[in-house]
Formats: sequence, C-alpha cells, structure tokens
Amino acid sequence: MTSFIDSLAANEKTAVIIDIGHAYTKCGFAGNSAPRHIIPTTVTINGNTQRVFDDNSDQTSLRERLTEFIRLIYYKYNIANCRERRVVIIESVISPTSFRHLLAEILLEQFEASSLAFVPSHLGATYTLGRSTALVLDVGYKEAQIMPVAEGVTLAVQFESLPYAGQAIHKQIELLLRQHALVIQQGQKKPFNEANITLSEDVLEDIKVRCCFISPFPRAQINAKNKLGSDEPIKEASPVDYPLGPDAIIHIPGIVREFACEVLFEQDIDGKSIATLILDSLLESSLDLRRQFADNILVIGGTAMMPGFLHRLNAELNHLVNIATYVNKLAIKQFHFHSPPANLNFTGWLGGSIFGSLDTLESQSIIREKYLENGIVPDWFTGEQAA
Amino acid sequence: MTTLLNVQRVKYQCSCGSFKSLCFLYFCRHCLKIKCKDCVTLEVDCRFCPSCYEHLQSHEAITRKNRCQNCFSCPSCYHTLVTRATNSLVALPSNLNITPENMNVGVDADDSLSNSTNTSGLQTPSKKVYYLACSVCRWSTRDIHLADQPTINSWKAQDNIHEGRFNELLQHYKQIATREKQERDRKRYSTVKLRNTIATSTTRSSSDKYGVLTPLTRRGIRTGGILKTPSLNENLIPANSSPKPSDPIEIIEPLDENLFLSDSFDFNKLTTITQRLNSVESQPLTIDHLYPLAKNFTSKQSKRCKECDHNVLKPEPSPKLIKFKLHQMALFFIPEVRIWHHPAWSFDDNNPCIISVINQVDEKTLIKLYTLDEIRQENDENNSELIERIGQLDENTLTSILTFPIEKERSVQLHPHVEPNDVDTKINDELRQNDPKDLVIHRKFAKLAIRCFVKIKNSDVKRVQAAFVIEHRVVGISSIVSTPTTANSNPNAKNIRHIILIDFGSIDEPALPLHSALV
Amino acid sequence: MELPEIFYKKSDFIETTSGNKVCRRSIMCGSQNIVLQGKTIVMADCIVRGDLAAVKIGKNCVIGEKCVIRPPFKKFAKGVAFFPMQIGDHVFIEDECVINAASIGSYVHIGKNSVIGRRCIIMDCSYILPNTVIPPETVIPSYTVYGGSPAAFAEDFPETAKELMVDVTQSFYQNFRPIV
Repeated sequence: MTSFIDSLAANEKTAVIIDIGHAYTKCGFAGNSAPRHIIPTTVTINGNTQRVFDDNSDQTSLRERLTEFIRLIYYKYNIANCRERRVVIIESVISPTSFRHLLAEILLEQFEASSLAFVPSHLGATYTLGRSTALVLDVGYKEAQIMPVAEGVTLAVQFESLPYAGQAIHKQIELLLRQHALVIQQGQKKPFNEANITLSEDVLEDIKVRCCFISPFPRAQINAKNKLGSDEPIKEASPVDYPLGPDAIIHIPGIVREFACEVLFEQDIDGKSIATLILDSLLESSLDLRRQFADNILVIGGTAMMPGFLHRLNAELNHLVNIATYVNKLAIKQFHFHSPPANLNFTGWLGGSIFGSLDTLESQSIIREKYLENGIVPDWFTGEQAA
Repeated sequence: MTTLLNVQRVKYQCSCGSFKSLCFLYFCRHCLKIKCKDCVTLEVDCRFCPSCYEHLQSHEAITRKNRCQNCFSCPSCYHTLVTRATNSLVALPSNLNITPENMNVGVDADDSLSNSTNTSGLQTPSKKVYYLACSVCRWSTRDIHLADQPTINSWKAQDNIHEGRFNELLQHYKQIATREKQERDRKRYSTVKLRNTIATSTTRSSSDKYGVLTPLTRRGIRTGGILKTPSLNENLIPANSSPKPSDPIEIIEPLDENLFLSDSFDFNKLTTITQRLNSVESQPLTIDHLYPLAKNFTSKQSKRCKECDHNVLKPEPSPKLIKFKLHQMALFFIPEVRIWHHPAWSFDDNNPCIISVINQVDEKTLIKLYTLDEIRQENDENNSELIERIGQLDENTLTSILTFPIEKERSVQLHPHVEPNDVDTKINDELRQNDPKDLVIHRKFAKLAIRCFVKIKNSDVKRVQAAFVIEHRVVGISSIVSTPTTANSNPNAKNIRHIILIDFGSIDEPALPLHSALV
Repeated sequence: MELPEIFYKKSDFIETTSGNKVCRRSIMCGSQNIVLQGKTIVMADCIVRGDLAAVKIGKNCVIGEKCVIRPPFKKFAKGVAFFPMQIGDHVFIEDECVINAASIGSYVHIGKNSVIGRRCIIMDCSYILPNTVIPPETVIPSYTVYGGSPAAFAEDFPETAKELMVDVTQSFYQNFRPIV
C-alpha cells in the first residue's frame, strides 16, 4: 500500500490541497494521509510579519499578501511547480464571493493552475469517515460553524455559526487576566491592570494551548453556581507562573485556566452556545434525518482539540436535551460522535486530499481555459456549472 | 548590503506597475521589459537539504516527501540536531558525566573515537552508538527515552497511525470515481439527448455526485428525493473493496484530570502550538512525545517571463554553486540610480540634490533624463501609457517636483562598466569634456554625479518623494524564429524608458555630507 | 544611497603593500597565522585570534569595530583542537560581532552585534540580520537572509547579491580615506 501511495505522490502533477484558515493554513498533496505543513496564515512583507486576513485592509493589500502567501506555500513548503497543476481549496461555504474570485484569479491567472476546485470543509470532513451523512461542527479560530451533510449533499440552508471559537477564548483569557491575574515585575507584585502590559495574540494563544483546559461538566456546573453566589467547596486548579519576556512574570490563577474556555459553552444573551448550535441544527433538520445526524456527529477544527472538549460537549448536550427548551421538541436523548482518521485540525484538509486524488477531480473543477475565457467562478447560488 | 546601500530608497517601475528596488528586478531581453517577481513564473530546479546540501533528483525528493533522511531538526526549538557518538559502555548515565566522550560525528569523528579508545588503552568491547542532541536547547533523543542507534541516522520516521484506514477510504472513493467516469463515458456515447433532458429536469446533474458545486439550498430535504450519492452502504460496490464506514466512538475520552487539575501542573511540560504543528501527523500534547523532525528541503528556482515564456534566470543545478546559467537581472541592463547628496530640506527653494548614475553594462551607454512634465508635454501617441502611469504616481505618492539643470542637451554618455583597478582614464577624460557641466558635476568611470533640484509641493509634506524618467537603449535578443522583416543587424534594440521613484526620506532629515569628490 | 565617506587618522592605521588597512588599536594575536589577501580593512578594537589556528581572510573585506574573530574549537576525548577559519572575498562584517564560524563564503554581509556560533558554515551570498545568534554547527544556505535567536530563515536574498556586495566593499574601501 505504501508503494502505491508513493507512486501517486511521485507524480509531478499531483494536485495541491490547500486549506486556508484564519489562523493556520494546511497545505500538502492529494493522496497523502496528512498535510505536509500546518503554518500560520501570516506573511512577511518588507520585514514585518502580518496576518494574511487583516480585518482592516483593502482588497489590493489582501491580494498582495495572499499572492505572497501562496507563493510561500508552493515554493517554500510544498516545493512544487505551480504551472499546470490542479488545486483543491478547502473553504467554508460562507467564504465571501469576492474572496473566491480573488483566489481564483491568483491561482488560475498568476500561478497558472490548470484547474481549481472548491470543497466545503464540512463536506470534505465527511469523506474521512466513509459516511455520507453526518452533522459536522467546525470549531476553528474565528467561528464555530455547523452544517449537516445528508447523503453527500451539504445542506447549506441549515448552515449556522457562532463567534465562539479560538479567537473568543483569546479574548476571554485577556479579560480574565485583567480581572484576576497578578504580575511580578522587578520583584514587585501588582495587579495585571496596573502593570501596563499588552499581550500579543501569540502570547494569548500560548497561554491557551499550554495552560488552559475545558473543565468536566460537573465541575463546570459547580463553578457556575459559585459564580452566582453559592459556596460549594471545590478544589481550584493550581495557579501557573507564566514568564513574559525577561523581566515580567504573570501569575495566572487557576480560575483563568479553567474559565477561559467556558466562553464556548456558556449560553450567551440569546441562549446560544456551541452545544445549542448542535441541538438547534437537529431541530431544523427534517424528522427522518434527525436520528441519523445525532448518531453521526463529527467535530473538527483546531479548537476542538482543546483537552476535554468532546467530553464536555457530550455532557452539555445530554444535559440540555432534558431541560425546558428542548425536552419537548427533541425526542433524541443520545448523541454519538465520530473520530476521523486524522487530527481534528486537518480533517477538512484530509477530505480534500481524498477528493483531489480522484479521477473525477477535473469534472468538478474550474478549468483554467474556461476561466480565462469567461471569468466565471461558479458558486452554488449562481447556479453555474463548472464543467 | 541592501541595508548598507538603502536600496529601498530608489525604486523602478516594473512593467506591471509596481515599484521595486532595481536589485530585486529582472529584465526580459525578449520583451525588453522590467519584470518583478510577480511577473515571472517560478520553476523548481533543484531540491536540496539546507543543512547537509545533499542534492536529490526531483522524483526522488518527492518520494521522500521533500525531507532529508540524514538531517533532523529539534522538535523543541527547530534548530538542526547534531549527531553525537558515544560508546555503548558509557551510555550509562552515571558514567556520562565522568567521561565526556560525546563528540560530533563529522568527517573525523570515527578516527577520533578509535584513537581515544586505542590510546587510553582500555580494552572495552566498545560499540559505537549514536544519538541526536540539540546544541541550542539541549534537547536530545535521550530525553524521550529513545534508544541510541547503532548506525548513524537510522532514525525511523514516525508512522501515521491512521495511514491504513486512510488508504482504505482512498481506495474506496477511487473505485467510485472510476466507475462514475466509466458510466459517464458510456452515457456520452449512447444517450446524449436523453441525458440533457434529465440534467435540466433534475436540479442536480449527474456530474456532481459530491455536492461540491451545488450544496442543496432547499429546505426540508428528504433522503428519498435526491439522487443516490456514493455512500458505503451502496450494495453495488464489490464487497471486497468497501471498507467499513466509521463507527461512532464508544467512550469519549474525558479530560485528563491528573494532568490539568493536579497541584504539580507544569505548563512547561506541554508543547507549544508551533511544536505541535511541526509534527503534523502526531501533534503531541506533552513534551515527552516530541520526536526528531526530518529536515525539509529547500529549492533553487529558475524564473521565466510570463509574457514570452523565456527564462530570465536559471541557476546552476548544483546547490553549492552560486553562479547562474542565465542571469538577467535588471541591474545588469539598466543604469542604477542612487541618492548621493541632499541638503537640509527647505520648503521655499529648490533644494539642490545630487544623484549618482551607475552603468553596469559593458558598453558605452547614452542616457537621457526627463522630468515628468517634459514627458507629459511630449504627448506622443506611444506615450499615453507612460503618461497615465505618471499621472497616477503624481497624484498618489509624489510630494515634490524634480527638475534638472538642462538647457538643450539632455543626454549623457556613460562609461562602460569597469573593474576599479582599470586605470585607463582616456575615455573618462574624453567623456568629461563633452559633459554638460551644469548637469554632470563629477564623473569617475561608470559613475556619474548628476545635479537636480527638488521643490517640495507644500508645507504639509512629511516625506520627500520625487520621480523622473530615464531613457536608454538596450539590445535584446531577437527570438530564434526570426522573420525576414527583422533581418537587419540589431533587430531587437530599442530605446526604453523607466519611471524612477526616489524617496529622499523624512522632511526633517539632516543633510547628507557632501563627498569630497563633489566639492 | 551612496556610502558616506569615512575619514581616519593616518597614524592610526597600518597600510600594507597589498592595500590592507589594519588599525593599530586592533589586536592581531599570532599574526603569522593571519592572512589578509588585500584591500581588507580591520577597524579599531578588533581581536583576531591567529594564535589559536590559522585565519584566512579574503580580498576586499571589512571587519567592523570591536569584532572578535576566533577560530572554532572542537572537543575531543583528549582535549580541544582548534580549526582554521576561512573568510571569503567581499565579506562585510559590521561592528561588534563575534565570529566562530568554520567558514564564511564570499559576498556575505553580517549585521551588527551578531554572534556566529562554533563551526558554522555560512555559504556565499547570504545576509545575517543584526542582533542574530547563530547556534553552533549551523549551515546558512546561499541567497538567504537569516535572523533572530536562534537564527531562522527570514526571507530570500536577491540574486544580485554578488554584484551588490562587490560594489559595497569596493566603494567602502574607496571612501575610507586618510586625513593627515
């Protein structure tokens, strides 16, 4: 089997699979069981490093950064010639049309790819299960996005998203640090607020990755109650002394470590959380599909790799279906999750890898010649067929 | 060197409209145009390991996933790991400190090791073993309890535990795809008309079985209503090939409370995100699961003009050589302009500045200098594009007006590029005599000092940016398929013009000291 | 921009017949082991440890102020051995660097306050950013820019590196003028 894969990989014209995420980009070749690289979606132009998706920037500078970034992917990370190569892009179904057009223009015109296919990440993820029906939840950096896939068809109308994902955790960490943390600077302890420190996104991410965790459901319940004034005894998580540069140490209390990720599960003003996202999606589905979806839930995305995530999500779901909002509407009381043959942060990519190695890839793609002729990037709501 | 010369101060306009420093630009001798890195396509010419410089054929490199078999990076700090040799006898940790027999395996490691054992007279039945260590963060393969290896670099890559399952799935989908392709080919021959009618009546054409292009937007989808898509339950598939669809997980792994909730929690035991992502396939949570990373190859690329498909740059295929087979940098064809002197800026007057023009071409070159206004006045038909570009530039970036002390003679001869040891000053003196003295204030072989005046537009200006146009003649290469009409001696020589944008820096910058040669 | 002129007191520098200019305030240990191939400038307060092993510096190099050039050593079972160091032509080393490399190619530019670790190999046409620390035994490939601590690849260097570097070192030499 390995030799077969090798022969496939050795082909110069193997499709390139790119999953451009808001925070991290996955890139590699079709038919591989893992991407070659997962790299931050940043570029260095004129010596300063910046994110490719900077919120406040115009189309021309986005174009410049994206071109540079794709060049990096081709020649630094993948080491592949861009000419006459098929490309599969894993994208969110709600990525803006302008962005699709920009990508198509860069890849097909600038980099002369022979064809370009867009695969929705939710659909791609179902390929990795060998199932064609699943409820896919993608918890990435910017948003948690849910979309059911029934018999290989993405039900885009039931697409739903919430801004509770990696970025929200970062914000929460910063907020909690301001409230609870102490800073030791030059041997002096002072509250975080007075220390006049701004934490970069990288530091917040590092705190998230190395210090934070998702507390189990029973603990979280007690914590939530205690927050409202009750006083149940609970052993707090141990504090951490996090060094910040050469002359400052942040004393991170256990409460920050534990509560930072609660933002994903706490219901907001509208009563929404990641768990309700799943339940609402089930409610939206037609009756004959609900059972199937509940039995086949797939959670992907980097944030879903937080320790304890799935366990907590399952507990939340089991708790929520028995409370007032859902108990009468939803007959389902059991949820089953799948584990894809990949790490969760590149599951969508892996689907693209399967898709990109099929013979039918060409018929599913935008062909360069066609694009140069008419400049159309078919989209699912424009009704244009690609081939 | 780019910082020493501040090359970003003077920028040339590429044929695509962007401004770049001359040393970064290419020049296509077929199109006779400046090309920047966005106007060329890259081709990987040779792949090699940046550490050991091993050079591999491209197919070989691809099968090795562009990774070196001999060089490893530290999974902790990403620096190159060093192979260390030691005798298996001293591998015991207690002895390790006493006999520092660790050494690097280089060319001479083997000799030194045998020397050491021979001369010390110890009759150790020594077996050399090797391990990897990082010279920056002191991580070593012993930290993760990997056994030392009896041969150099016999470290196995970690296997992806999902490989088997993935291949099963891949095979399965491939079969579906092949079948579908066959089906479609058959249909194409038999019932073209029928298929067309079907395609229009059902919203989803048969060509899209993956839902990639047309996610369903209709509410209330029913399974019966849509076309059957490739699912593993389909009984059409031969039984031997269809893998089991994934089963739901029975037990969901709870949070490791011993790790996160214990009092002895140490975040330094957990890997950082970069460490995780560097081992894409395993992504370990704790540092005791880190594994040496095989070094990634880098590549040399040749560059090709997008317009005419000719190479502008082709490196030697060997990784160690820095020469190029084909090296058409703009610097070698176009005179280089640098700032030589500017005064402390004044808003009211013309600020007298000195720029230098350097010829890198091996022959005498005649250049003509134009201010932007002069180009505008020409109003030639061929110029419309240039004028448009000037207009845009003037509006968006320029903060000052540059003029030359030119009366009638705007052209200047440039001495051919010479080695500085060459002391034949004859041509130099000759050229100096013909110089318009107001304009050219100094000349030393291929380098000219040219006086110009910069008038700042208004008093709000923060940075002084000026531009002018230079015209010179270049001799290109005519295409190999020469048509009879271009049979004369120099079919592809042409006068070309470039807009040069000079950033003199911030308005409150002090004057640059004047070189003694210019006084 | 053109390089500025730098003036030095004639009595401060020794000029050899091959055009080397070596500051009297620099320390050249074991000078019989140090080879400067011509037109190389060694600025004030440099230390070149020729007493440890041979140091060969090519043509048209510039060694900035307060640099330390020290041949690399290697630990053996019986002790320590020093290895000769080679520096190519047209190499520009800015002020306050510590160089322990095994070899530095030609047309290399090393930024201010950098540390080049033991037995590093710096290939031709590369640029080390200021304040970089290159750990021991690193190989820096051609046409790259490295920076940071520990040094990591920063970006590609233009293919005109050689010509620029020749120009810089030569005009630096020409603009390095004595005043009596």
